Amino acid sequence: MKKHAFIASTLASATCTLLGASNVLAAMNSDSLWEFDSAFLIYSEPDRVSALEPTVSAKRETTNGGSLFFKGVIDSLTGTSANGAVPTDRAKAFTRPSGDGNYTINTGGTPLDDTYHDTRLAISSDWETPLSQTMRLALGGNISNEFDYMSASASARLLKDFNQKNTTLSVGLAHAEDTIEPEGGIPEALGLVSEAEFDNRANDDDNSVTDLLFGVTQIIDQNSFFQVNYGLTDSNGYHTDPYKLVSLVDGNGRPFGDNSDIPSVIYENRPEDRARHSLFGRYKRKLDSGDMLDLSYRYSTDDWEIDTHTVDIKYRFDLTGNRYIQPHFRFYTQSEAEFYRPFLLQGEGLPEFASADYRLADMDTFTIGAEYGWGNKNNPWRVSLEYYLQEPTEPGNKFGELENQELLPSVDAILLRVNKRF
Amino acid sequence: MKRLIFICLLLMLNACSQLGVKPWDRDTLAEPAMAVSEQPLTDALEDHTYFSKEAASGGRGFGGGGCGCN
Repeated sequence: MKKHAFIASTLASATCTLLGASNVLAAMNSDSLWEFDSAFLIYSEPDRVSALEPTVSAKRETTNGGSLFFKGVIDSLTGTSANGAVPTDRAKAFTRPSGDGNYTINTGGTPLDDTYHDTRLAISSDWETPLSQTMRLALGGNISNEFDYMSASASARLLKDFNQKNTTLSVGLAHAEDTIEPEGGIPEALGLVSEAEFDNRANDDDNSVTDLLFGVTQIIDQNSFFQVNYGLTDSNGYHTDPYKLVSLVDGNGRPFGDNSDIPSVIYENRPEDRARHSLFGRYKRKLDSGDMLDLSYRYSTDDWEIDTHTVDIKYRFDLTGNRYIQPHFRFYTQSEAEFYRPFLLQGEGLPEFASADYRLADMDTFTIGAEYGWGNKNNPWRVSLEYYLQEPTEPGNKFGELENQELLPSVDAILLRVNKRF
Repeated sequence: MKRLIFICLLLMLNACSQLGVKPWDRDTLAEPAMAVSEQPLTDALEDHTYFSKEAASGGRGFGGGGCGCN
């Protein structure tokens, strides 16, 4: 109930924000060539993370037929996040990520880090310009900053039209340089959580990501087109989540050392290299009734042995008076990373890599909801309400006390979004 | 292998050349709702949400970096 009240009050403030912004942006837009777009997203998991994400963009056509695009996003997160440790039948205390004090988890509860908070500010721009009658170049840049993470990236895409502009081939390259500076410093990989460990920490670490993207967009007939993309993402550097832990359990399935209420947990460690391939296909069609179908599928595989499939379906019912309602369904499934370990055994040698982050486990997710649009056909209001469910697969190798515990409970969330273009 | 990929690309382009419409028949395709990226802000918000909750990202666009949420 508390969450619903939170959503209601936040929706009210989001609407006011957009209404206020609409007056300002409409005034700015009345005598300029700029087109403004805005959106406000509320993401809420009961008893876990809540996020507010307002975003605004501005776009204008340039005199040579190209375009300029700017976008700003603020992403504010609060709440709690699963720290990866197993639940057990005794209360237990965890050292805070800063090393300053503890937080206690009661009997049987999923260990949640209650210090989770963040605010991200991201600014991006894109410039597209024609190189010839059938070729365009798009250059982009992005800077994103949060209290423990910074990212800067640049991208370039070349688009070439064929077959009377019925076929467009594209090739793109993007590179990002990220720096992570976690609260409390970089923990020792697979190191036992202890106050002494904080004395030997580095302040920060880096990660670089290179993306290569090839695409084909093909007009099929007067009412439909399809799109196929192949992407290769190569990432090198610090991939570990410095706030995630892995439990060391004893022969009874309990994560405690001798005569202690302090759980026996270590920091996770992930490989420094990751290469991911993705294949994306999409079909979009306007039907004779005026309704519209937007269907997509994505397959991805990487060298962490995570394979994924995603199906996304949107069907827009065209209503009278420039109104529409668009149900949305999305299904996603992934296999677990080769180093995913829901827990490790005390007294056994540690593997080179280990993470108990449920986002690397076998998992299915479902999204179901609908968007309603009304107003000016080119610049409508849109409101979307969706339910998002994450269902990780419970580990099959539980024993002892672990068999009495649910290690990977489902996580559900409500997503509420308001859009307005000017 | 490279030759096979090249031949497949040529065949695909040839197949694509059989599809399509004349420029004056694109009124429906020119509608805002039929754009490849009709709602870029919504797409970005969706991508960011799923990027922070799932192990895969990208597909319709570039997939890597930019956030410490995963």
